[in-house]
Amino acid sequence: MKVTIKISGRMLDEVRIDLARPHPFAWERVGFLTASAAKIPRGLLLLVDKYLSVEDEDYEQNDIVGAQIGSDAMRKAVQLAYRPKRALLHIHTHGGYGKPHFSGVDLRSADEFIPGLFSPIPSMPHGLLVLSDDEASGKLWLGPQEKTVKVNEFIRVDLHLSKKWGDK
Amino acid sequence: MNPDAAKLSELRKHWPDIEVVSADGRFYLHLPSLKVATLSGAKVISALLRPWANGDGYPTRLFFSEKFTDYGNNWNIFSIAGRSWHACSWSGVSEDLPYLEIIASHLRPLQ
Amino acid sequence: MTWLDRQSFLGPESDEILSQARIGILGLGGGGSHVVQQLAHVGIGHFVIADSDVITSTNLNRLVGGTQKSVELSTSKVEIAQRLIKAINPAARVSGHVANWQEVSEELRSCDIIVGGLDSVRAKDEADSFCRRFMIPYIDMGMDVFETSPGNFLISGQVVLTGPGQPCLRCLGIVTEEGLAEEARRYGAAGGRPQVVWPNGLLASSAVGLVIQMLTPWNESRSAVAFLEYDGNRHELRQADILRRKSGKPCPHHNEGDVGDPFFRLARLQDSPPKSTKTEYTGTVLPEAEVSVAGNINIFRSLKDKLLKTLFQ
Repeated sequence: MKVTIKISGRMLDEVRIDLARPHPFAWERVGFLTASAAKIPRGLLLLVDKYLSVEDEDYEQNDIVGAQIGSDAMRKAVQLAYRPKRALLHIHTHGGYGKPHFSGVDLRSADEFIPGLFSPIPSMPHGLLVLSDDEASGKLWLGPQEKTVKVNEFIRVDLHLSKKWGDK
Repeated sequence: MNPDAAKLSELRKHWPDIEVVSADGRFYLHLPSLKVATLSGAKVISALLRPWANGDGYPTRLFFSEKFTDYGNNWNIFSIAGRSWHACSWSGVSEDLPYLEIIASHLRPLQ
Repeated sequence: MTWLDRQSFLGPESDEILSQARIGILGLGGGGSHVVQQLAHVGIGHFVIADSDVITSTNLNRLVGGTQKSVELSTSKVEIAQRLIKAINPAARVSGHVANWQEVSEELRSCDIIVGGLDSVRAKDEADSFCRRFMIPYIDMGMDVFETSPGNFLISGQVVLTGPGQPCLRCLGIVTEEGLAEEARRYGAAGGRPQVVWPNGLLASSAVGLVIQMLTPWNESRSAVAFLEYDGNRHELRQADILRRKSGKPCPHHNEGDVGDPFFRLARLQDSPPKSTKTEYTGTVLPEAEVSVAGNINIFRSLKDKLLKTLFQ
């Protein structure tokens, strides 16, 4: 199955600016995208419509991981994706250039919280995205017990339609 | 523009799974499981009700996920909320009626 | 050395970008046939094309790729377009549908850009809405000939590029309530109006330029929205004034949050696809698949309680 995610240039720039802001104690910032979905031949299309920045006070101190967010942040994210029902995509950036990769911490942590998103929102897929400064990688869960699928294509919809999630 | 709450509530008594769909700045009512009786057994199709006039000469209109080739006249195809829908020429069903009456009236040409 | 060397100014990755681009063309008449030809020449790699019509003699004055022979054979406009594309770029993948574009929604959702050469006002309106919903830039073309006084005619037309967050065809006056009502009075008939090849060519070329500008821009100045008005008597193509008045204003005809398929359910993702209306280009055209309901429908009389009984059995 081919998975494509589309985002407007304006929103992607907003996400990058937000994720680049320093945090008082977290090493990296995270956020959530909500996306609607549509079936396409042999695949799935996700269309990003909102971004939720995790507020400073919703991070929890942790000396081991880059960023840990509390239950309030999760609750706000689920609320945003609940009505109308949307896919919830956790997003953060590793910086640098080229195709980014998920760290072990990213994947272990996602394996814990993403399946839980199917309880309030079972009708949509949910996932994890990581950015570099010019590209993106993503994993999608199609159910709480399902194997994950990779995101194959990232499209930036802007004056210049690009299949890379770099800057304009 | 939002659906009439009282009319929608009455409709929900018969179809609890009815959904309000937002498209083109207006609303449609989606009946995901409209059962019709056929000679070869009951068939479940999806229908979309537009209980308001949009200047196309139809005060209200009922669209179906499939075309019934043996019934109704002048079937046309439409794109609404990103999907294909079919409707036949059946006009004159007032938007002032309760939603249930509108649906019943639009099913009349399929007799 | 490749056949696209003369367009290398579009950038070192332009060949690859264009070959991977997926362009939808709705309507393959006077405007759409030009667009198809030019996009094939420029190296577009994937086409999704739809038109339910066959060529007739009155199309020959403007349908690119149409021949006397194709008229005699009542060849579908889809097949004419497929042959044209494949003759120019055999590596191009063409998904052709002898059908109204509304019947191939699922496939069109996967397009990067869609170009509409549609006669009907309702079809333009629906195409605009569809593209907004799936975040697809939409380019609409149209031309008309008006009799301004007995024996004097004005050739005019327009090409409009629009998309999410931009003024829609209703904002720009291309789709109007009057136009929709008038078309409804004529039972949806939109054809039979005067049409000639050269304005179609000019408008189609402008549309193709907008496509390429979005995929492989060749300079800094570009816009997410365009409204090029053509005056065929003065031979002028210029940006319409209405665009300046409408740019930056939110579109009141569409909710920005209405994206994606509102009927999508994860549980149905693996359901089998709808019946295909696709033609595979093998040199012959396969019969059009009919979308119909198997069996007969027997609805009880319209008394409300009997109807409800039927519906809930």
